[in-house]
Order: sequence, then C-alpha cells, then structure tokens
Amino acid sequence: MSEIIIEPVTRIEGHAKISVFLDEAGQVTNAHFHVTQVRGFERIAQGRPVYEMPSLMARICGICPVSHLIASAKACDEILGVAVPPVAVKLRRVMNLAQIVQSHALSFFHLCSPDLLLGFDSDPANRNILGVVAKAPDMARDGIALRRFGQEIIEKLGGKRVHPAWVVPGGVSHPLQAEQRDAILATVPDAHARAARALEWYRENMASWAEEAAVFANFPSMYMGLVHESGNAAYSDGGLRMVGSDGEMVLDGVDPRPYWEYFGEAVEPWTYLKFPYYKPQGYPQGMYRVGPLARINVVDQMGTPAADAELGEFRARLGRYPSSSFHYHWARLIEILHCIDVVGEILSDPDILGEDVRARAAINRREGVGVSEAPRGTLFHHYRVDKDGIVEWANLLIATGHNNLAMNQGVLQVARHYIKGEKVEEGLLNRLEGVIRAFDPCLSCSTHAVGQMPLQVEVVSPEGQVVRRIGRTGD
Amino acid sequence: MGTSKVFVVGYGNPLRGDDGVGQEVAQVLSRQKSHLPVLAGADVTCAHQLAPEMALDLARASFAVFVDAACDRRPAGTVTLRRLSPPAREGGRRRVAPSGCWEDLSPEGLMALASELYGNAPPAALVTVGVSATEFGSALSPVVRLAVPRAAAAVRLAIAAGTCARPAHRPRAESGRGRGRNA
Repeated sequence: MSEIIIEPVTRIEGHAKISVFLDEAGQVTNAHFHVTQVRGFERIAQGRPVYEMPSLMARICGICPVSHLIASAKACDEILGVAVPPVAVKLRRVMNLAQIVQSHALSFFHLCSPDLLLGFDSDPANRNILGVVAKAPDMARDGIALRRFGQEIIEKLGGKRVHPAWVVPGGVSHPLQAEQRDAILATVPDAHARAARALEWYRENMASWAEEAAVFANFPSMYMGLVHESGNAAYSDGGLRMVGSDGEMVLDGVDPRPYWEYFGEAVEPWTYLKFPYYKPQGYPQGMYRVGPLARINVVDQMGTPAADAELGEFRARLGRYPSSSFHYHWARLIEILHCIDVVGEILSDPDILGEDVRARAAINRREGVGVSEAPRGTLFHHYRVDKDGIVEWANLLIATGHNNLAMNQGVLQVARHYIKGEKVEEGLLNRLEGVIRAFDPCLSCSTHAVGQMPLQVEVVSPEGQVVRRIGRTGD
Repeated sequence: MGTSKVFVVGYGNPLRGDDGVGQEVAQVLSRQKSHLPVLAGADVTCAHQLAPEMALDLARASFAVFVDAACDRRPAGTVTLRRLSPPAREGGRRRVAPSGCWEDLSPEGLMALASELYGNAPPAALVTVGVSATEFGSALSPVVRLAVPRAAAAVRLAIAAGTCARPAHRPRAESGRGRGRNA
C-alpha cells in the first residue's frame, strides 16, 4: 500500500494535512483529513470571570471573532438571567451579518476564486489573488470591496475590525449613532451590486466546474442550521432545523441549547478535530453538514427578495436538496447578498438608534449555552460557573467540527475519482485541497490553537511507507 | 476618490511581545494627531497584518508609511527608515507575496496591488524597529519600548519629507471591465 501526503493544505484558515492510502494495485482504499493543531480554549477559560468570556473567546479566531463574541455573550446572558434589549438584539445581528459577508468574501474571492477562475489545473504559481487580479481585476476589486463592507461595519459598531469588544453579556456596550448608521446604509447599494455581479458570473461559468461538482463531497447527508419560525434563514437566533438528504424533517424549531441531547462527539487518533454526529443515528452514520449549503437547504426561503430570486435559480438548476459540497460556493454568494440586504433592512428601522442596549445583572444561573450561526455553520458555547461567576467548565461545539465527517468522506471521494496509481498530478492534489476549501474550514477555531494553518498530502503504501508527500509550508 | 491623505499603518501581533511594536507606534501617532500639524488629517491604522483590502486605502493616499517589527539580526531597538518602491514586473506581472498568499502580503506587494487594481501606488516609506523578544506576551521589551518615540519621530520625518516631494495623484476609477470568464 502507498500513501500520498499533502502538507500543508493551502488557502484554508489554519494547519492541516491530507493522507491518501493506496492498495497494491494503486487503488485508493482510504483518505484522512488531519487537523494537526491542539485545541485549548476550553481549558484557558477555566478560572476566568464569566464577564471576560466574550472578549476572551473572540480571540479564538481573527476571521470570525464576532460569531464567538455572540455565542459567548448569549451563554453569558443565560448565566445572568437577563432579557437582552430588543435594540441590542438587532445590533448584534447586524454585526454578525457583517462578519458573514466579510468572511464569505475572503473564502470565495481570495481563497477559492483562483481555482474557479484560472482552473484547478492551472499553474500553481498563478493560483492566488495576484492571478485573480491579472485575469479579472473587477472581480478582485469586488472581493476587496465586500471584505471592506463587512469589516467597516464591524469597525463602526465595535471600534475595530478584529476582536471588537462591543458585544457584552446583556447586550452591547454602547448604542449606534445616527452618523454611523447613515454611513453604513450609504454603502449597502454598492455592496449589493457587487454581490449580484459575482452571482451572475458564477451562474454563467458553473458549467465548467461540472466534473468537480459531481465528486466534491457529493453524497447524501443531513443538513442543519438555525431557522426562524417563518422558515427564513436565521443567523443569530431561531430554532434548530435538521433535514435529511431527501428533505425529511429530522428536527424542526427545536431549542438548540440542550445540544448534547442531539449531538455526540467522537474522536479519532489521527486528528485533533472531533467528529460530531447526530446521536440517534450513531457514529459515523449520523453525518450532517452545516454552513452555507446546509443553511440554504434547510430554509424555506431566505427572506429577502433578491436572495430569494437567487435561491429560486439555485434550486431550479440543482434541485431542492443538492448534495455536492461544491455548491457551498454558490450558497456562500447567495448568503452574502442576503446578509447585505438584511443589514440594510435592520438599519432602516428608526428604533435602531435606541439607547437601551444593555441589561445588567449579577450571577443568577450556574450554566448557560449560547448558539449562533457562524460563517461556517452553527456554533455552540456552553459554560458552567461557580457562585461568583468564575468559569469552572466550558465546551465549544464549532462549525468546522460539524463538517468533519463530511470533509473526510469528501476527500476520499475526490481521491477515488482522480487518483489511479502512484502517479499523481499536481492538479489532482489541488482538487483534494479544493474539496476542503469548499467547506471553508477554520481550523484555528475548531481546535482553538494558536498559530497559522498550512496543510500536507501523503500517499501511503500497503506496508505503511509514505511514497509521496506534497507540502507547502505556511511559515 | 481624493488622494490628499497620508496613510500610516502599524502592524504586527501585539500578543507576541515586540512583534506588536508597529501597532504601538501607530497608537502613539494617533494620540499625536491632535497637536502635531504634520499628522493632521493622516489616516493612522493598526492591524495584525497587511491585507488586500488596504490596497484601496493606499491608492487613495498621497503618501504612505508602513511601520513593522524587523525580525532580522538588527540590534533590538534599532529604528530604520527606508523608501519603498512597488516590485518590478517580472514576465508581465508583479510578485505580491513570497507565497502568492494573501496572508503574507508585504508593503511592496500591497503597493503593487494598489497600482494594479486602482491605478495608484503613492510614494511610501517603511519604518522598522529591531526586536528583542517575540514570545507570547503583550508587553514590549524595555529596549524596544524605548525605541517607540524614535520610531514615531521617523514616521513624522518620512511624512514631512514625502509629502513635500510629490503632488497628489488621482487613482483611476473602476472600469467595469476585466471580469474574467473561464475558457
């Protein structure tokens, strides 16, 4: 048996490695997506005051700190036993939506568009943002503008783009000013136009990625996300909905806080990333996906006109429950458009300038769970505290972890389709990375480690010898 | 887009000791904006790293200063000021980052992006500070802390010299063309 190793996997957030195992005939027998970082934030949280948790937990990630802020603050809201003022609920939503826009723009335009625009087999030296600049400068400008749109909203609300401390237990630290609101609203039409342009480009070109779409984690699974009672997409609140591969309702409108009733977490010796699974179906049968494709699949409609029109086109072309993770890309663009429009809707509400934005209380409960949709999927923060509010125990169930079973099965599917024998072309290795990129994993979040995140691919022989290792350092 | 502003960005990781000196210098300059005319109207930014979206800030500026830790063999606390030029084209294209990855953009790479995408890369300077310790921690080492006022002075000197040297340039508007299609 032989093993192909790709290390580091590039253009993802964090460090990882892919191993592909071959038999004597050179056929792929198995594949693993290894996350090589150690998680640690649950331990770091122990002994800290609960009031510190949002700011501390936001440090898990520089890409999606706002999701951790919000999930953490919601867990703290529970411990304080407060009802967050309605204006603060809306302001938290705006910041979360802004973060989804900037994170999705990073994933699509900066990390994935080089493959889509230049081709999976193109010169690796060009498969980067400069290659995008050279071939499609307007697309590069749109990506930069959409990143700025989200980042500037976060900065206007929270004072800085990365790790803002504005979301606090009980609400937000200060109200929105009229000039900030007006400045943000003035940018909405331009951002909408750029997102719509990217969607148009994607639809016009998607036929050229048909082979990848057929094998990039294309298999039945369940899908999960937060959904409003109306059936609209929800990102900061709502009930948990899980549907099967044919649309059968597995969970609908359930309170997400007792998550341990629904999800188990399995571990494997070859990776630090846990494998969450749907408990009633067991491990590993209880595989489900979260994030943009899952959210698109579980909602009845997005809830904004332009995004609903795009969703109609998406479903008309791909069916009601498309099963290929390649379609995360399209779903991501639809979510960008939707989030931009919802930001505009919320900020157009005159009540948004209200000054009652924070409820204050002492410790009233010893346990709290906060749930939010992060760019990559559903995020759970769970804390237990002592009578003085000192954290005794914490558990985080991270979006990237939910997708771990599907990412591993996706790597195996791509390897089986493209790898025949030990002769492996670079473009095939890029597709192994590409299936992981489609999920947009954030390994820094999911393992809570400090550091960067490159990846490697290994081909292993039946005797356990590594016959091919492809690595790109991130340092 | 107007281009009258000076763009200053201090970057690095403030949780890795002296690596955060760029952000520290930027914070000092922000506090000085109100009473030092040379900094009036300057856009002073702190960041963990340079990012592609800063290309627009750069293109809108008439002069730029980057402030970073110098992680080489230079003595700790040494402040260095040098002029920057966008990387030359090689085979019809510029090299933006050592790996071509957005996560390790250099000042020259950002200048190249600004030039390619927005038609303007203003004259720029790089101020670096030699470091002593970059282990985990939020404090600067004593020798690097002492260098912060000198680094801030170097930035002001660069601005004073740079803004007298060249008239403002107007970056080109977005063309509406250049949206690629797959073959």
